[in-house]
Parts: sequence; structure tokens; C-alpha cells
Amino acid sequence: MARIGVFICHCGENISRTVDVVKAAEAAATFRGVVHSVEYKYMCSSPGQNLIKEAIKEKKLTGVVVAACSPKMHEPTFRRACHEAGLNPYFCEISNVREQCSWVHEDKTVGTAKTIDLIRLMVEKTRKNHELQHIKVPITKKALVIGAGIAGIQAALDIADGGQEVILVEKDPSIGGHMAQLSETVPTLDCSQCILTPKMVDASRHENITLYTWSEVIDVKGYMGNFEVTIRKNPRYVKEDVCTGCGLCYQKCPQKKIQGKFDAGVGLRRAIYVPSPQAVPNVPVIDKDHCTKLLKDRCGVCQKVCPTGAIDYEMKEEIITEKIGAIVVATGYDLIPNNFYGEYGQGKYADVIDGLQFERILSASGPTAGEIKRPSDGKIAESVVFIKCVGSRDPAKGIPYCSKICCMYAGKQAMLYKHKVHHGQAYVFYMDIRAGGKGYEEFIQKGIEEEGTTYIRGRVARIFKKGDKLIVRGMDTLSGQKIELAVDLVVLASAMIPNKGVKELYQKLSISYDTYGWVSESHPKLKPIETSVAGIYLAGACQAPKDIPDAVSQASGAASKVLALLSKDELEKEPLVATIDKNICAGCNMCVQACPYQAIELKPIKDRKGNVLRYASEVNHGLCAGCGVCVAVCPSKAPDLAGITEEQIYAEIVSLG
Amino acid sequence: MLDKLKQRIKELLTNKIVNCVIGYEQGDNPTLARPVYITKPNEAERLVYNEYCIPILAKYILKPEVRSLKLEAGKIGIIAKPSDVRALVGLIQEKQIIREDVYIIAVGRKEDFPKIYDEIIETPLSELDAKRKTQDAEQLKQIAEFEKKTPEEKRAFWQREFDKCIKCYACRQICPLCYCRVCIADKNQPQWIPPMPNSGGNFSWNMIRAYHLAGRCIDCGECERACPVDIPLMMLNKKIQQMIKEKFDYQAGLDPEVPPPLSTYQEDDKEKFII
Repeated sequence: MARIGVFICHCGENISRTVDVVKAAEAAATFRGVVHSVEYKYMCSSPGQNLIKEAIKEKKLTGVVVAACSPKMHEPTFRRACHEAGLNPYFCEISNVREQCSWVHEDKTVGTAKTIDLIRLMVEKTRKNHELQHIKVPITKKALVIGAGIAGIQAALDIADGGQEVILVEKDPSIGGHMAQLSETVPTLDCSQCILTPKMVDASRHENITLYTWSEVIDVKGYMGNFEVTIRKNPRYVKEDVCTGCGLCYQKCPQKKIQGKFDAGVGLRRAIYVPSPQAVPNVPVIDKDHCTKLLKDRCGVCQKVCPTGAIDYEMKEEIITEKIGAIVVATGYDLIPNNFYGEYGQGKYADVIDGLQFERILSASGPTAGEIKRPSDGKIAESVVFIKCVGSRDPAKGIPYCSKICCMYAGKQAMLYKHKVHHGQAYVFYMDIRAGGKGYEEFIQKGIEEEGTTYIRGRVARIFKKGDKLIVRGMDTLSGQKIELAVDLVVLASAMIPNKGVKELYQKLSISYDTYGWVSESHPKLKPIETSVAGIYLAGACQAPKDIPDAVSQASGAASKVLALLSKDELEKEPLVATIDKNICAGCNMCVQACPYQAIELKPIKDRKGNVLRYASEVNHGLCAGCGVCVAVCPSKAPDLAGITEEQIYAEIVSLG
Repeated sequence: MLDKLKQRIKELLTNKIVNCVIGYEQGDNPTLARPVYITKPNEAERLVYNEYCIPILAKYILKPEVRSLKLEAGKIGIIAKPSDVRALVGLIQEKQIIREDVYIIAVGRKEDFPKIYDEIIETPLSELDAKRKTQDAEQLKQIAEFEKKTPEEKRAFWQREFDKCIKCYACRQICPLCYCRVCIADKNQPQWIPPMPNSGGNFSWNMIRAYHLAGRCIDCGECERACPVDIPLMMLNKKIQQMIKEKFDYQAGLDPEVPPPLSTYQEDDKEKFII
């Protein structure tokens, strides 16, 4: 016979304000199988939990129903309490009388009646509970980090330092990401490459890190602790193990006028190239879209000059499969395309550039060696306009969010510009100045007060060319006057958007992303590093626009999550999984197609001689997330979900009469 | 036409392309044609094909006596009307039969068939099919009329219709896509559908039957034909077909390669609740 205890929480006043908890406890005491029914101010507090524990022991309870907040909040708390008192945790059920009752009702009579019903349901469910044991799954002790920008590098280094093996995959020829492109960083103005390159070198030399550059993750199967990842190593046409990085090949390559990704289009590179002198690995790659040898089978200069014979035009892509325990997604960001605002003339006028392009111009290792030469004619820019919120905070253009870093980098770029062109004039058009961050507000103030940057509050309506000047026409919304400036260079603080092709990757990983394509976190406050899939974590700007310190700290956070997971030998998985009754299953394949986790397979049913009689579905309990889609889709209800069985749902419905 | 059909079946059986052919033979009276399995070339003479050849033959392909046939001795042949071919598409989609195990001999007009048959014996539009087409049009009109009713009137209409149900399950037995090993109506732990032919139970059964065929019903009309108390079941089926067409641009029974929308998980599904 069931001996069930009902515990009703006041949740301070959250529940008791609209629910007569005393009356509910009295009513619950009369339900079939209930031998104990009490209410308490805070059930989740330690005295509250003790009430449950003591009752389990004294009244020999076989089931516990806690009427409180959402099971999302405290189900683990109460199940643990039951477990500590010697009761199988899956005999503890939560009746959600806060979110689903007291918070949505005003009338106390209604709230009380509904609470009594909700408790009755759970009592009926609990009567039909079964003892469940955790499912144990072995863990592969190896992590995968996708993307080797600063976030990916940091995550990989931290995991590797923690003693676990890491595979770091980067789709570009070198690691470093956008941070390697930057000149100096806010608010301390330390050189970006100088602080990044030691980490890049560490990542390439660390004994626990395997680096795959010029590579992409093309397939992901499996689940937390047991992923199987397929990586495609694109052909570099240069043998990594033979190349010494001498650089002869790219000095001699006759294809000189290619706008490269690293210099963001403001500098030119060859058809065989290393993105930057600090590239890791320092091995060139051949751009197959521009190399005349690969395109037309002419030239071959690089092969002739290479002293070690590292060039191999026949190189093919390589497919690598790896077993992985945990994944960190650090796929970064991109900027909006240059035709996003026609009225600003980006793409049409060479001297209207975006922030990343200006970073390259500022950079000492950039195409202008740090001189502020404008792209059109190489003239030193005597005046520069910086425009913030280009794309960002513009719902009409589909980007209502703030790109977060632009206020700081536009201020910094104006400052750096003044350091290089002392007599130059820098104007910043802004909507607001958002400088929340350690030392950030002081930095902006310094730019205005000490460096003489002119801040104009207002938006720019149009930019057009007149002679060799760019005319910037806009509005100063503080004075209410129209403004027209004739300048040499315009720098747009373009909105940040997710990197190209990431949605396809996220689909392969089965992680959710928002309408813009930023990775969704599992909980916006309490689980900002977890994705919607267990065992996959996120770091850096793939989640939303982020500056370097935020990306780095999140990367270390992701690394600690990975290390915590990989520190165990076995994974304990909730036993709330589906099982399919093969006697009932007709093998219609519907659940196989409907399962979001690819956890179901059709398996043959054979007679003694091994002849296949028919097919029936089988659930892989390691993959099953207990979502219940298979139960819903099956016409003959062959699947059943442990912990929420069909019988229990039926009993709940029937109990309502 | 019939001679040509018989001749072709004889050839197929003699050449061991097929092991058995599902077709029709003369029934007990001139207005009845009943399904028959032809396994020997000389038996092909028993075949008939006329306006009384109504029952859907695709249903018979799932019968144990057909399933136990040795496929090495040839495929399973089936003389198929358009609705039979649509049903076969559904069964292939749902992995109940393997396309290669079946040899489809379509009889009718080319344009009426999904293009998966093995061969076709072309005939002009039969009287039966013409009748079906006018019935279809009428039923669509009926649905449009029904749509004008208030929710209360709609409920009253179906309550009245379902009250006639005697729970004989003929609709289920004849349906080529009702092939579950254990029907939800026969499950008793828990008993979702009350077995008694009373008001509530009848409503559950008829609605659940229609829902289980949502996105799967291939519009053969057999359930309504089999119903001894004339419940307009096709009105329900057709309404759901219309909705599936409208929402997912999908029609069941046309292409076995297209995944059925209601039972296929997609990352970009319109409904976000799935994950």
C-alpha cells in the first residue's frame, strides 16, 4: 500500500497569498494513499527539507508530493532530500502550485481549489511511481573546442592545463581569430598581438592540445560524454611537417592583388600566404580560388622556390573522426556586410571602411605599417569621422541588439588616430555612450578631455563624395542643428553578427540559437555557459557581442565545466527515458523520424534461424533525453516514458473525475 | 483490356517475375468482385476487372499469407487502382513494405497515378473513378457548408453522427494504413478509448481514428464505404487533408521519398516547443 506524504510550501507569501494552504493540507490528507499532510513557510529551506526527511522515516513514507514552485527550481533539492532519507528519489514528485497556480490567480477560492486538484493529480501519479536507477554512461576523456579565437584558445589552454586532451579546430589557416587583427586594446592600450601571440604559441605547443587549422567540423553524433565528431582538414597544398616557414614561396608568388580576410580587404596578399607574420602554425596555405597552378595548371613558382619541397598541388582533403567527451563552441562573430547601408556608401567609396579595416590600418604590422593612410589614394587622413551603431540598435534593419564593443573601440580608434596624426581631427557620431566595464568610462572621458575627440550626438543621414573629400551629412540632436563635415576617412562601427555558416554547424550539434543566429544559453542568468545540449558549452562572441575580457572569462568558465565533466569516469544520467515495447511496435518509422536526438533505430526481429521477421524500434538510452516526442507520435503507444508513464498520465486525468 | 491483363499476369507468373498476384475474381453474385491471390499462370483466367472491383487491394499486401511468401520465387504482384498505388506509397514510406518486393501493375489513366508503378495497362476513366470524382467534389462542398456552422452546431452534428457508431471497427479493418499490431482501441492498460459503443467512447474512437490518419490518409474512401451506419468519415479525413496541404504543402501517398511532415523532426520547425 502506498504511504504518501504531502508537503505544501507557502513560498513566503508567494503561494499562501492566493492559496489557503491549511485547507489544502487538510484536503490532501483525505486522498487515497496519503498518510501525512503538512504545510510549511519555506519547504526548500533546511528545516523544511528536514520535515520531509523526518516524515519519511517516522511515517515510513513510500512517496512524497511537494506542492511548491516549478520542478525546474527545486525538484533536484527535494529528490536529494528524499534520497538522503533512504527513499528512491523518483518517488518524489513536485506539484507546481506557484507558477501554474498562485501566480496566475487572484481569487483565493479558485487558487485553493486548483491547488487541491493539482495535489490530487500528483498523489495519483506518485501512487504509480516505480523505483528508478540512474543510467551510467562511460565518458570519453577528450574535449573539442570549435574555433580558435581568443575564447577558443583560452578554453583549450585551460582544459589542457587541467590535464585533459583537447582538440582545437579552426577553419582559418591560423589561430588567433579577430583579436589577432586588432591594433591595441581598451582600456589599457596594450598591443593586441603582443598579448595574444604568447597564448597562440602556447596552444600550438601544449602537449595536451591537438591543433587542426584550415579544418571544419562537418558532423557530430552522439551525446554528452560520448560524441563522435568528424573533422574535415581542407588541403593547404603545403605539407605542414616539411615546411620550415621560411616565406620564400609567398615572396615569389606572382599573384599579388588578392584582398585577404586577415587584412579585412584593406591590404593585399598573394595566392600562397600566411595570414600574418605571427600566424600559428607558421605554414602558408594556397588560395585555390586564385592560384593559377591549381586553376589553370600554369606557374608552379612556389614549388620551384621551396627549399624543402613542401608544396604539394595534389593534396587532398583529409577526414578525421574523433571520439569526444565534451565540446566548447567558440565560433565568434563577423561584421555586417558592407552593403548594409547604401546611404553610407560603404563598398562604393574606398574611404568608407568598417572598424576591423581601421584596426588593420592602425596596426603596426598592417598593410600601411601603422600609418593612417586612407585606402583610396594613400594620403594621410587629416580628419576622420567615426559612426557608431551602424546596423546595431536598428530594429528596422533586423538588428535591434547593441553590439556592445563599438562604443569602446570607436573611442579607442579616435584616440589612437590622434596619437598618430597629432594635428588630425576625430569626430564620433553616437546615439549613447555605453561604457560599462572596468576602466571603460574613464577611458572614454580621457578621449574627450585629454585627446580632443569631438563627440556629436546624432545620426548620420548620408555620406557622399565631393572632390577628394567625403561629405558626412547628419544631425546634432543636442543642438538640433544640421551638420555637414568634409573629411578624409569614415569609419563605421558596424554591427556584429554571427559568423558565416555557423547555423549549419549548430544544427549538426543540435544546439539552439536565437533568430539572429547567436547560440542560446541554457538559462540566461544561471546557466550562461551551457547550451541546450548537455555536454556542449559556449564561449565568447558566438553567444552575443562580447569584448575580450568577457570572452576570456567565459572561456575559462566553459573550461571548468568541461574539466568537471571529464573528471568523472562515468556519467550518471537521469533514468527518465523512453522504452519501446517491441511486441506492440509495428515498425512504422515515425518515432525514428520524429526523435530530435536521433536516439531511435529500427532493429530487425529475427526467428531462431536468424531470418528477419519484422522490424521494431529501439531507443538508445544514452542518447534519449526523455522529451516524449516518440510517445506522442506513436499511434499504438508502443513507447513509454519512465517516470511519466502512460498509466500515470491516465491516472492523473481520471483523478480529476 | 481484361484479356490483356490476364495475358500479362500469365507472363509475369511464368517468367517468375512475380510469385503471386493480388487481383479480383468474380464474387458470389454478379455485383460482387472479391480479392484473390493468383499464384499459378493458369489461375489468371479467374481474374475479373469491372466496376465492382472496389475493395482496396493494397490492404492485402500486409496479410500474413502474403508476407510469408518466399520472395526468391518472385515479387508480389498487385493489380492497382490509383488509390492502391497511393496506399502502397504510404506503406513504403512507413517501412511496412520494401518497394523492390512489390510489382505494381497499374490499371487506369496514367495521370491518376503517382509515378512509382512498374507497368501500366491504360484504360479510359472508369465509371467507378468518375463516380468517385463527383463524390469528392460533393464532399468538398459539404465541408465548406459545414465550416459555416457555429462550434456548437458542429459538435452537435458530429455527436449525432458518432452516436450511430456501433464500434464494429470496419473503418479500421478496411483502411490500408491501419496496420498497427496493437490498435490503441484495443489497448486496455490504460484504456484510452472506452470499448462500449456509447457517446463518449464513440467520440474518442472516431476522432482518434481520424487523427491517427492525419497526414497519412491517402483518400481511398474505404472507411466510409465500409461503415455500416453511414458516418461521413471522409468529411473528417478530407478536412485534415486540406489542412495538411495548406500548412505543409503536403499530400500523402504521392512520393515515398518525401518525409511525412507530422512525424518528422526538423531543426527549423515552425513550432519551437519541440526542443
